[in-house]
Amino acid sequence: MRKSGLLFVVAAALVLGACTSGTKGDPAKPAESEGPLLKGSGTLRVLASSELADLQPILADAKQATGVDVRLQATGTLDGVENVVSGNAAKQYDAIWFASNRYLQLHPGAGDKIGTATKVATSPVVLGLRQSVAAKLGWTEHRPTWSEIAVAAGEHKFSYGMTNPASSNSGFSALVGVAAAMAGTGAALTAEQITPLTPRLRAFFAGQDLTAGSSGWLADALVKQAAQQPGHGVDGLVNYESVILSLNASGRLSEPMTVVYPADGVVTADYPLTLLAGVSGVAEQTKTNYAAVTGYLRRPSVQRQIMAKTWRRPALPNLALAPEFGPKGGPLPELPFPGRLEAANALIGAFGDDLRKPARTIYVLDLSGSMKGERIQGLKNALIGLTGADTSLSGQFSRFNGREQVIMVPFSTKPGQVRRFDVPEGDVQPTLEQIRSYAGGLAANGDTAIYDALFVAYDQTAALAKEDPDRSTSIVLLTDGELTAGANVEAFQARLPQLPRVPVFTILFGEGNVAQMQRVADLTGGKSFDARTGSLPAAFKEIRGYQ
Amino acid sequence: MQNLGVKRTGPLIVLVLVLVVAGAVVGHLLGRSAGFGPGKGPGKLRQVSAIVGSEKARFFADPEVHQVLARHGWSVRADAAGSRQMPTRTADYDFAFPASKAAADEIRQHGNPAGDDVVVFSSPLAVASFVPIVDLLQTAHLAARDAGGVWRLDLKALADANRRNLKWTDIQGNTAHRVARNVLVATTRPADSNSAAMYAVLLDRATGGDLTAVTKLFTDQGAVDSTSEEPFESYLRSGRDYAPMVLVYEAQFVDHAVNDGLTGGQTLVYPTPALVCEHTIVPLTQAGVEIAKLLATDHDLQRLAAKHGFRTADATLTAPVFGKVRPGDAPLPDSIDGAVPDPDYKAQHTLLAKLEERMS
Repeated sequence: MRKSGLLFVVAAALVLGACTSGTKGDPAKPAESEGPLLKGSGTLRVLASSELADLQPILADAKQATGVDVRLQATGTLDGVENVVSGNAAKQYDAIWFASNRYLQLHPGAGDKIGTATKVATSPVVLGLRQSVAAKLGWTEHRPTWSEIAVAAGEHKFSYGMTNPASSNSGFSALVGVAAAMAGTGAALTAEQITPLTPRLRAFFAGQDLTAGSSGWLADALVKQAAQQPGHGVDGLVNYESVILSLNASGRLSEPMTVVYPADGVVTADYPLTLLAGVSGVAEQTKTNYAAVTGYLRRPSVQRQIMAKTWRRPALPNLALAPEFGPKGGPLPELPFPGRLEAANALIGAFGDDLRKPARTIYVLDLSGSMKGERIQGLKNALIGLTGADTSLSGQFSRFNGREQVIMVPFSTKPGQVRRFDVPEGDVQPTLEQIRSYAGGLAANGDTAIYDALFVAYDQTAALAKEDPDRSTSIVLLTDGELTAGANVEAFQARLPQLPRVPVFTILFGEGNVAQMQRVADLTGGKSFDARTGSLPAAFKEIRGYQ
Repeated sequence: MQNLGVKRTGPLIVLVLVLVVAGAVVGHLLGRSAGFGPGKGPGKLRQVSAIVGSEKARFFADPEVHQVLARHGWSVRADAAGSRQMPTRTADYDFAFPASKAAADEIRQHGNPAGDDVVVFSSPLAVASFVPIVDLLQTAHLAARDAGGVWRLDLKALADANRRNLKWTDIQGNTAHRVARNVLVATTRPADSNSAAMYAVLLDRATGGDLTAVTKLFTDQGAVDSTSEEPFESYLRSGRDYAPMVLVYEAQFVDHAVNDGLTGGQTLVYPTPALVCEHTIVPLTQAGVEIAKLLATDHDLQRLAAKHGFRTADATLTAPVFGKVRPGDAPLPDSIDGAVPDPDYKAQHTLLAKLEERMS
């Protein structure tokens, strides 16, 4: 895995070098008129938005040119912000590189944790739709407003995928954009303006049939759906323009997407590479490395490469955009981002509890004998964390939501008693307490009948979907050991075509069969999460972005 | 000779002239004694680092500036920051270079300066806009040309219009900018950035101390950037889509107009009341003391500052640069009439603390 990744980087660097006319293939040699390069040495450790992984080839060039090795560690929106504000990020990283610093800077004291910020590229959040669907809606000629888009989504005239605003920057920016546009007050959104928007925002999110914790997985899921069931997957994505244009350019789509630029505006990511203030100051070498890297990334020739490779717009003014960038006519105003933390947080909270399509979340939980002790305690903590006991920033917004249906399918030698919790709209506390006490009472004993339990989960889904189909349904499968009872994975695969399409998110844990868990995730359009080295609560929290 | 200086800077000119002469003598002596010593040849430059307002980043990135500094034995790395972020970030720097005397005072209060403040050059606050937008402002009685043809934005009228949520689409006959957003000037965060802080001072003055009105002109914008170059860069990149009016230092606009060319109908408006910001160095080490003197007195560095749009004490340096820029087909104002005096540190601090409290 690591080896092929490296090979990819090298190959991509070669391709890049080959098509960089200004530098004659040698990034260490500045293009004429761009002045001398500042040199650094060592590494720059950067906590970054996951989508920036596509800059690896550019960063490989940057290393050659400046001597600085930029190492990116991916993080989600709220986790990243939390790490900076708590001061933990400064212990491990030299810099942060998020889609924007706007949300971070709303936090009191955040300004003292960061230093110089340098914008590297920009990308607006837009709607990408299969060409035929965009044409049918008339949106290849007419640019709809976010309100028109919401009405069409509410009438199920198209469906889309979007990342979870609490997990991923693109989903958060999209939520801010659509809410700001609908409020239409001419000024930044305030907390009290959110509730009146609920009906229109619900209509918008009624069209969301795919969710994810990261932009990269979301784009892959769309490609997979389009290949496996042409015409039946989601029709598009609400995401960065760069994600849509990259997909179009990748050749992975049989039908390219039209970028719909909403007439009333967008929220734009501006990717500021930002030095952290450090625990006790910042080393001169780090400051020099930072200046060298940002100086390199903002050279006109490199800005053009970033545009060509990643479909992000240059941060520098005066560079011509490739013809793929739109809109072809009319303005694309920047929508205001909330200026107060309470407004931004109220919006993220409202998304989960009031606005999103409600979730049906099924937990298939291994309570076999091997789960005794530390493991069952980890599982209890994980579930209890999701009932609001985790008060961290990311914990607050990953708890079970209002209107969510949470179903527990415990198993050992046989599938156990199914328990269903319907979290109401409004006061969620009593139901969350029931879940908490249920989790506290879990006990381990017996064998491991994984697939029998999975069948029970599917049966539950099918039965519930008859009365209440309009939910975002998913299954989480936790097991810590090999199958010792009941149906096997081949039996599961054989029966899969008759089962409803529900993604299964599997957790790699204990002595669980890694290959089988990955196979189940692949077969169902889910994803596997590794809790062998990290903690179960962290894995459960990460999965919330995909439910 | 055309007077491109600023009326308020009379005593400053005298001071700088004295410094120029003194600096020339010292420089001459230093040059002689350093002629054979280390720090003169290439690769043996004395490395210094500075924390500077983002609007001066282009000046410090200019290869010509590097050459002149190298000729004097220096290599300067300038890290950009908002002037009001600097007080807590001065550790390990040789000098801080905020955008006003008040911001310099703030740094001085927090730190341990190695020498006196040195005013290096100045630049008035201005609003970067577009020709059709300025016409709309005139229709809405928010802006007009003065006797010299220079466009002036009436901040009192702007605050009044914002109190009643005037949107661009409310302006009669508006076909040029049909965006239903409040008419206001896009700024940085007053807690971080000198330009926004000074704008708050002007609004306070224009509204007779109506803090509610002042606050609204900031909060209506939502979350904004920390340094002055960021919104200006967005203005250059995305034009009216970013914002139809952006608060800048005149220098930023002049720099781009002269050195990059402006082709998108960009124009410059001056606020009434006006304010001139004196970009001031707070030396933090002995090297900082020396560099500050050099930047303020070296003829080539002052000429290069003028090239980047800053108003230097010697008006003959700015004349050839400013003569090329004619926003709204009018010359840049010779002097900034009716400029409010630089607020003292305490008065400004009280106002901004109240504003920040209301904004959070």
